[in-house]
Amino acid sequence: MVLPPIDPEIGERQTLKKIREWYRGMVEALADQRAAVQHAIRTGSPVGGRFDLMTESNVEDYYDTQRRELDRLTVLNLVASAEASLKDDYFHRVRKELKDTLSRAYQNWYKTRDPVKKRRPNFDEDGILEVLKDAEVTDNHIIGRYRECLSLRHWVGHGRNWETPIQVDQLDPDEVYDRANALLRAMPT
Amino acid sequence: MNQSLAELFQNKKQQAEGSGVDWDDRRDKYLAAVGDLYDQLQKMLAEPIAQRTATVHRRKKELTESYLGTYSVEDLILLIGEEQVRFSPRGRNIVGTSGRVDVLGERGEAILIVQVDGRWGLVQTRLPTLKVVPFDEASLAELLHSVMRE
Repeated sequence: MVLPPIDPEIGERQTLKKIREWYRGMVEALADQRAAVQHAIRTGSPVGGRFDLMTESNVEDYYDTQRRELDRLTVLNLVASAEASLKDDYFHRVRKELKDTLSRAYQNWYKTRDPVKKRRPNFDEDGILEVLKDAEVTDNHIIGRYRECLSLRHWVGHGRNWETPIQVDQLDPDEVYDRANALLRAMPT
Repeated sequence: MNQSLAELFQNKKQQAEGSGVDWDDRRDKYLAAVGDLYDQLQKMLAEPIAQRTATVHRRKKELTESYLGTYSVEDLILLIGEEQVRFSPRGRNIVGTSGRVDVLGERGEAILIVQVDGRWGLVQTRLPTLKVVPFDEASLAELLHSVMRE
């Protein structure tokens, strides 16, 4: 069985920090553009066609929607980035046959998987996070707080075609960053 | 009040005063433009109104906009047969124009805006480019066809 590569150069990986920097830049850009449109309303100067004939409340609604979308997509990115890091770590421990508690737990679990799941293991329930929790090598509260972000990530990532999870309005990108970062930092070396 | 907070408010007040915009004048001109539009409309519809195939009445409402505050304005409601078409002012502070009135029928909506020359125009398209034609009897007919049921 060939395990997936763990080469960090493959793909377009983004660290949590890079995602947060991008997010902050986009928030600033939105704020600047919003101010420019409001200024255009005051002065009567032209702006892009997209905004033509918008009322003040139209403009407010537009930017509220943009900001909400930005937040949701950023949360998706943050959770997915941490997921990729945790999977990399899982495959590294299995491949290198490391001897610490977590690595042994991963290796034992790996042996019980069918060939398909060996390459594409579950992540949350009956998956890597469950093994991590059962290994008791890190604070389970930290794992739990990261897992709460997954419902939001699934909802956005799978087309939002079911009822909006309550976490959507509870978890902003800064909160999700903190939770994902806390878990990655808590992982045993 | 904290001195820093007081200075912040004072500075912002001075900036607003220095912008040179007479907001009261803007609001008054917009209200005058809406009045002109309604006069124009009633002249265009004089014949059907006289023949009682159309009736017109007005209904007060309030608009609230930044810098302009809350002010009173009227919707103009046109009744043609069993159908209602409402001309409803949306405000003075509009991107790319100095006033907007929406027209709401039972099948659709249209937008009238104040053009650069001060006259009203009917918006035919917003995107990809804004296309506006002068508001006259021909464009009124076009507008009514687009917002009323067949």
